[in-house]
Amino acid sequence: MERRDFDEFYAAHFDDIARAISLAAGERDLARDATQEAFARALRRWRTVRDMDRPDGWVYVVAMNQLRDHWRRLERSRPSEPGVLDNNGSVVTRLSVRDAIATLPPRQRQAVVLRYLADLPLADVASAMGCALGTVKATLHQALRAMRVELEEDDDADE
Amino acid sequence: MQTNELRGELHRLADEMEPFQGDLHGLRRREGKRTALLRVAAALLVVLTVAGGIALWSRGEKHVGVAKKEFTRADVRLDLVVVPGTERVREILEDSPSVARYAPLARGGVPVLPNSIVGPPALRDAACALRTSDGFAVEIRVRGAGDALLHVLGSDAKVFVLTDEPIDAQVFMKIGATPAQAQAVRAAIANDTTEVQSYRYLDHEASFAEFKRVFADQPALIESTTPDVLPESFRLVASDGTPSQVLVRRFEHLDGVDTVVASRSGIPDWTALYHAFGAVPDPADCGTP
Repeated sequence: MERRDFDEFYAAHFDDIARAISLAAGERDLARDATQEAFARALRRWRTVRDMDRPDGWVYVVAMNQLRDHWRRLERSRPSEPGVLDNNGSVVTRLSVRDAIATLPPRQRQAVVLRYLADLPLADVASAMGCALGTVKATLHQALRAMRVELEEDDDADE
Repeated sequence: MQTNELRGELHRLADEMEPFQGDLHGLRRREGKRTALLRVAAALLVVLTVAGGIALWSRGEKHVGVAKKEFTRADVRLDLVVVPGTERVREILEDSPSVARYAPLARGGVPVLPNSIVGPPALRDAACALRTSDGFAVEIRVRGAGDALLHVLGSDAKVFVLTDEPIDAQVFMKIGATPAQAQAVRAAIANDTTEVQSYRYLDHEASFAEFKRVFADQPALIESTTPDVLPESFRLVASDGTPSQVLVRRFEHLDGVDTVVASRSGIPDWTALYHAFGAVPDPADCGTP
């Protein structure tokens, strides 16, 4: 039963999470490895993870930590050439979002992907990025300003 | 653009990517292997210490013959194995300040661990060397005695280092023991000045360093092990006249302590070691006879 639980969870979320991590990482192989490692860790403590409100949120957080560790090991402040994203967008706004997100500093990019693609609560984004809630809000504000995105009034980046 | 549009664009960007193929089978296989190795790793740290005392226990005070440091086999802690068992080697052991005691080991005196299990390489090598030669079990007096002996003995003899420091007992903390528990155990050890002559604390990192040293020839095992799965421990040297078992009884019930292993643990023979691995010895595992 427990085994099937995890297998279904993996099948349902691996692709989505890997795509989001890939957007944040800008490197497809790195994203796949980080996501796989995060799922491996989820398996090790599956009894705990499966009872969480958002088990997939936990995997996002751990995968993002893997990216951070990777970059720290490489001792570089940003990932290599950004823009390894797949395919060419045909819509102007999509192209500009692609470009805009690719040029963000890694931390801002991570925050945007976790908040607006993975739809994680701000507290989980903070935990994924290993920083305080206020720092996440500030980082998101900087990122949105850089991307020329207006924060809507009801958006909880401001909550 | 507003944030809801940003959400939509991000989702479209993600959707446009080539799908990621998961590898659930690979993940399961890797995790299964890791779990098995970790079980072995945790057991080995204990076994390493047990191996030092196994078979050669119940320290007595009987000298053998005219030599001052030669004792019966049961009275010598097995820190090193030295081959061959020649008179020249015996004289060097007798004269070396690094050696506390020694005892002759007959040919075949240490059975060979099967290749199918991961064992301390030095123990296997020693057992294999003893298949074709006799030798000595050596109890060391100071850390690093193996290197010192090797230097004096030269190329005519071989020294197998099972333990590189004199340890009478080792207190292993539980993997998840809290810092407060470790601190309390340390205080209990430090305060016991009548039975503990000295002690050394190994944190997770130090245990991992030790693990890497012992298993230097098994990179896969090291690669799959991380410091957090190896327990913290305290290595104790007993005061003169204090049997190891006293140290075991003194510390094994403290909070956070997993087990206390006495170097002279009273385990009667090598079969205990094999039971720990669930395997039987196989002389064919030495390779060339």
